[in-house]
Amino acid sequence: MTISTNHFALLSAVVFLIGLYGAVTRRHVILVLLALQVMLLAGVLGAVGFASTGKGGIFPPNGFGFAVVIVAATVAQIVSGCALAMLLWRRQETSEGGA
Amino acid sequence: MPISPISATRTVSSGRLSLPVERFATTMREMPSMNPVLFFVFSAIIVGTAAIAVIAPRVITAAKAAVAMWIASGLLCAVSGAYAVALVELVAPSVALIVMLWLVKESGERSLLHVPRKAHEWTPIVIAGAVVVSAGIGLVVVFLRNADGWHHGTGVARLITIFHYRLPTVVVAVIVMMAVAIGGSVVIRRISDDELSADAHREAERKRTDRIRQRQDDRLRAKNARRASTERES
Repeated sequence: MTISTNHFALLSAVVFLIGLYGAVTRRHVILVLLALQVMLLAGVLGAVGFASTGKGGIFPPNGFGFAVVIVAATVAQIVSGCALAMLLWRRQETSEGGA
Repeated sequence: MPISPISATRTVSSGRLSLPVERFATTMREMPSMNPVLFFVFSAIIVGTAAIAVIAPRVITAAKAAVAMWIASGLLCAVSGAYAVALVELVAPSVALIVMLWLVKESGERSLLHVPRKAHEWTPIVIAGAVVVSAGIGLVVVFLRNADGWHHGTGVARLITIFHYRLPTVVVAVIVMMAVAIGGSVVIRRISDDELSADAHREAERKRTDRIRQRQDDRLRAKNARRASTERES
């Protein structure tokens, strides 16, 4: 059995949907951030999957570059999200995003 | 006239034309093949840890699951041949998450990690489940319909393959996405568990304020009445 682009695409879709569920149902700021991370991971898996199965662009594949950019964005999201959560907590004494 | 991906592949395999497609197919053959067992093992770990990160009741548990998810994803990337991506994935998000938790704990805002327990309400979970399942059906249908239909052309063409060659599927996907958008807006409206409990809390607070004001008014009225009766007696 050969792992194809579709395997990565399906994995990416499943991970994205799990993240979407969390982002919709959770209200705690940090848990929403973690759900957004799951959704971003889906993008990374898609980019790597397309690149590693030969559909991510000419060699060296562009998909790897995209994946690194997405991971960098994730780290930035963690840092800025944490700062926003702490600010929200200090100002409003709440950890819920919609409050 | 657009060339369908299937016909393009056939053209390459027959060797009649020398197109960029053919060069790309050569590049594809040179890509290292991946061990299916490792792929499925790491995929299962990623899906499991992602699910834990999303549904865990405690922030610490969710963060640990997220770290495990990134590590499994990094290992999957390493197995796929994306060594640089794997290195970045193994280090950057995990370190960022650990530092985030450490900062929250050290800054004296430990209460931020506390998730308040609330009454269980099935409505938002069912609606969110419906949104996710409908989006999932759309995505899975699109991917399964394109099992071998990915286009081997230029970069831009590859990215829009699904939308270019699978119009009926795309129409279905668009309808599903519209339903998802409507469902999402319904979920985001004030029907969620947290919103209901917040509304109940606000209503209780308003009633308490009203009661206090009423009590103050009654007291004032009684005081005035007492004063009036005292004045009458004197």
